[in-house]
Amino acid sequence: MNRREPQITREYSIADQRRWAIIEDHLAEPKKLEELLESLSYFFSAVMVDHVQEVEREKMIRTVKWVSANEFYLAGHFPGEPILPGVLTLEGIIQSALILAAESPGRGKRSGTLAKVDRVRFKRAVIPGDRVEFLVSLTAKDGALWKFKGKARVGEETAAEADVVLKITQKELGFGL
Amino acid sequence: MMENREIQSLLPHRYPFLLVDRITELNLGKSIVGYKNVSANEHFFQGHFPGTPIMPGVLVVEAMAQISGLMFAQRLEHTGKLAFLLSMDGVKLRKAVVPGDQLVLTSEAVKSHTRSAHCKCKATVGDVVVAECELKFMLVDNDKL
Repeated sequence: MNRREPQITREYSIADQRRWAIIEDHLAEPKKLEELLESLSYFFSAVMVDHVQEVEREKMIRTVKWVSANEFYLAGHFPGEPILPGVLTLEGIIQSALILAAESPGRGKRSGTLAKVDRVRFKRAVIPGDRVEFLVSLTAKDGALWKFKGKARVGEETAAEADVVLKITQKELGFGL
Repeated sequence: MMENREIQSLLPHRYPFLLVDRITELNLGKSIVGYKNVSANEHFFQGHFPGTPIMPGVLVVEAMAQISGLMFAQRLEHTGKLAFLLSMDGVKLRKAVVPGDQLVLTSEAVKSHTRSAHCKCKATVGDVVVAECELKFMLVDNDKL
């Protein structure tokens, strides 16, 4: 299939329209991150990635989430004692893996659905004011199942770790594309 | 230096109007430095504007007002008082603030009396100054309202 050297795409942010043209592959048209998440059936209320720092096709992705006290889930988790829910840290790892899958087009557009989560470890509470960095790397492929190893870091400390398996579907494009 | 939990015990603001995440420097009644992380999950980005998220300028000013309120609320004679905005001067919004930015808020007191206060504020993202303003507050007893 696609055996070329993995390319490092440029850094882009969710907000900067000029940097939204991210995929320089003739098989996939440039798209906005918003569309990317939408095509993965993620909606605004659960965007856990603010910034994509680095993508290496079919290898790894590095993304950033800024945690603010003004987010809806911190109002109730917990009143007066805001802590980022652990499932949302995990969600950040999963969304980063989904973006990595979408950023690694094969013979068509790729998208993923969650198949399995394993070995989730929480090591540090994430609180407002933290900058969480998600590092996700592709470790193995088993047919349509792609295995990822993910890590969430705050500064130098590891906040969470998880192994994620996604089921990848590929949308073949027509002739001449 | 001061985590959000302590900020919430000093400021009356709560979600969806708590615009300070952490305090890094505090010089009682004189100056304060803190920051707000601007994330894509914030409610005002849903409508401002769909597809092109920009943090409303008035909310940047509100964030500067909240951090100034914290600086004055920390002083002994002002404990248990609320800081009400009296005036804003020289408000400059120089650059758009977008999700993924860290808004560093700085405030310096110019004058501070028992019932009123005056300060100069600045908001930066990286090395770029995004907003500036001068604010005047009235300090009112919480129970006399």
